Amino acid sequence: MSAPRGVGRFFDGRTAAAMPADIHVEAEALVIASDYRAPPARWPLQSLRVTDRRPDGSAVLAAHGEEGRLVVDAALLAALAIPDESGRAGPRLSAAQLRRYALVAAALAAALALLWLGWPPLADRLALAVPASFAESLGGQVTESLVSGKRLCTQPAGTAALQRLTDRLAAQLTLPHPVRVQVVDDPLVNAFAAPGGYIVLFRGLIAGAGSPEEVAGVLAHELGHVAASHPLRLLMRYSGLSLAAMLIWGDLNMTTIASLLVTFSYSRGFENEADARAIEILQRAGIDSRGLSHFFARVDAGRIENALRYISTHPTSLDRRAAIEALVRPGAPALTPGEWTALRGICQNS
Amino acid sequence: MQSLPPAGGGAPTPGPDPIPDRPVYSGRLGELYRLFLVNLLLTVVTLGIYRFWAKTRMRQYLWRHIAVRGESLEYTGTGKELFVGFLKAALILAPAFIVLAIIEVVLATTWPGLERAIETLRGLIILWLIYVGSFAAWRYRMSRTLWRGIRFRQEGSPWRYGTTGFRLLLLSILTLGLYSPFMNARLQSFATNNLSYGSARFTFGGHGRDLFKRFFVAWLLFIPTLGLSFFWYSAFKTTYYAAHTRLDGVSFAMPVTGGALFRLIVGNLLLIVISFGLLWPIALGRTIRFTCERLTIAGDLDFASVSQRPLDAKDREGLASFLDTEIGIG
Ligand SMILES: [Zn+2]
Repeated sequence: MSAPRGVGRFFDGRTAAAMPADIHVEAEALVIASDYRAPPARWPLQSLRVTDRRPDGSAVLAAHGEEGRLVVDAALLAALAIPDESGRAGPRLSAAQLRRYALVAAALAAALALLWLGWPPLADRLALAVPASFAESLGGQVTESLVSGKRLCTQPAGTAALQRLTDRLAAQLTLPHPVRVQVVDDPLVNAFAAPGGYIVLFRGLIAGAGSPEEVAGVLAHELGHVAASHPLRLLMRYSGLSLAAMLIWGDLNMTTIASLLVTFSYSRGFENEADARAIEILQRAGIDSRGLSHFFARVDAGRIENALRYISTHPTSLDRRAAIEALVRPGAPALTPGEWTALRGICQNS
Repeated sequence: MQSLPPAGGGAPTPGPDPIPDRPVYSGRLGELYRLFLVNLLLTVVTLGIYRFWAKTRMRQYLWRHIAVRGESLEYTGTGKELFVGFLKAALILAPAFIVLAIIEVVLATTWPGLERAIETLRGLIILWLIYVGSFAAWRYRMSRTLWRGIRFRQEGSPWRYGTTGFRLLLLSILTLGLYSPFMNARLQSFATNNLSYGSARFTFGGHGRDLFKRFFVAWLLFIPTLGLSFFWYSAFKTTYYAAHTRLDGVSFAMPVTGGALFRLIVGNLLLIVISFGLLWPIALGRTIRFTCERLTIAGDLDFASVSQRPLDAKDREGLASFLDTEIGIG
């Protein structure tokens, strides 16, 4: 058996000149001899790798720690049998390396799991520590950015009717801040609460409601979110997660936090809590709480157009509806017929 | 878009094949696509951590498939270097931005009128960091580009480049864009005059005043041509840059027309937008081929006199991988 031997083109890593070279193997090393260079370069065989394979079968070789490159033909390449770096298989991992990577991956997964599970309760704690005045100004900013570009509905009689209803419901709660309800001229069926007692109803919700009690039910549900500080807790949870995401992805854009309040849906737990509080508020105010269940039944049956938005921010389920059905009671009307007509015309301001 | 490694010159090598005077790209779309999809998948399942290795593999593929005068380039960077650089940048920048965000909220709640001012300030800081980061990234890429066993090297401080770029950008805005050809030429001059291939230095002899006349015409025609005049100017600028760049005895030419540049850029934009980024490899291939088909390299470099220079310890990508939007290659 003869040792591999051949010729090649050598770039020695000191100058850019290409040197014709005689190549042979000697004492577990590739010896690269060139007229231009003395003594010949010696590359240990174990440190060799292929950095490029060319269509004509030739290849570029490199040795660990060397910047020089050696171009050899297919025959010599085959004789040398060097593990491929540029090929499909990729670098082979040793068992120790594999163990180390597995350990890093496991640690990373554990850290993420800890963040995922541990962050929400911690964020809730932080949310409770936020002063009311801060929550109010934060909520004001969030609401402003969410309704920006949309027309506000401020027809006086409708606004007065909505204010009376809101006051009746809010009087059942002890909140550290006033409750401000705004209606925006948007055909979507949607409603959301921001920190600090800001609630926004969309025109589509009022238009789609079958009775004033349904509007009262939705409003009480949003008040339920407010009373349990859900918007602030959600914002806190989201801010933390977005900060983590920012660190992972390297994205510095933090302006999205506000808009996520609409796209980020409440969890089932938040919804159930808001429902229970809503029914309590309605019953203490003496208002017929069946409106809430009627509204959800109509949304689920697809009888309200454009209601997808509401479902996506306040997910409904059969369990949830059953829980509501079991609690609701008849009561007084939420609005007089005159007030109801006025509320439905709230967007007819010029 | 202009992140192609610069081409070097070469002495005629004896052999049967004539060595083309253009860089030759031999990448295949199928291979590029497979690499892109595997990278995408791994990046998603690792919550983004893999992206440093993904970038590295993409660059390895591209560099290896670009040959200048018969010898292919080689990318010698590693994913680990990018990752460590990112962590360093994150350690410095994340606290700074958290503090800024807190100041922002506190100030905004105390003096609501200041909101805009703080938002603007943050935007300006990010803009400055993008300039710094993109030059740092370019510098790193050059230091990891090997051709004929010799490294490229970009010198010049990213902070200085970023600060100059930022200052000149403000000047351009204040002059309704009229200063921008001078800004472009000054930044190009800073970058090219600090670029070398081994011990051979690149030089850039262009001046903003040569660009200004065309720019002014394009500027005047901007509204009547719905912005198309800028493709015409941009093509002129590309050609001008190449013609005024030298590497010892080697000169460059890149004749580009406005129409061709328009087809390239708008075509790429459409490809990426209609596919939500999934056709990105096609756009990438088009960009590289566009460059390789037009760039010519004339004159000889005495390879035996081009020697290796030691690697600069400052060449880390850090900031760059944090902020670089990577519209260009890899
Ligand atoms: Zn809800």
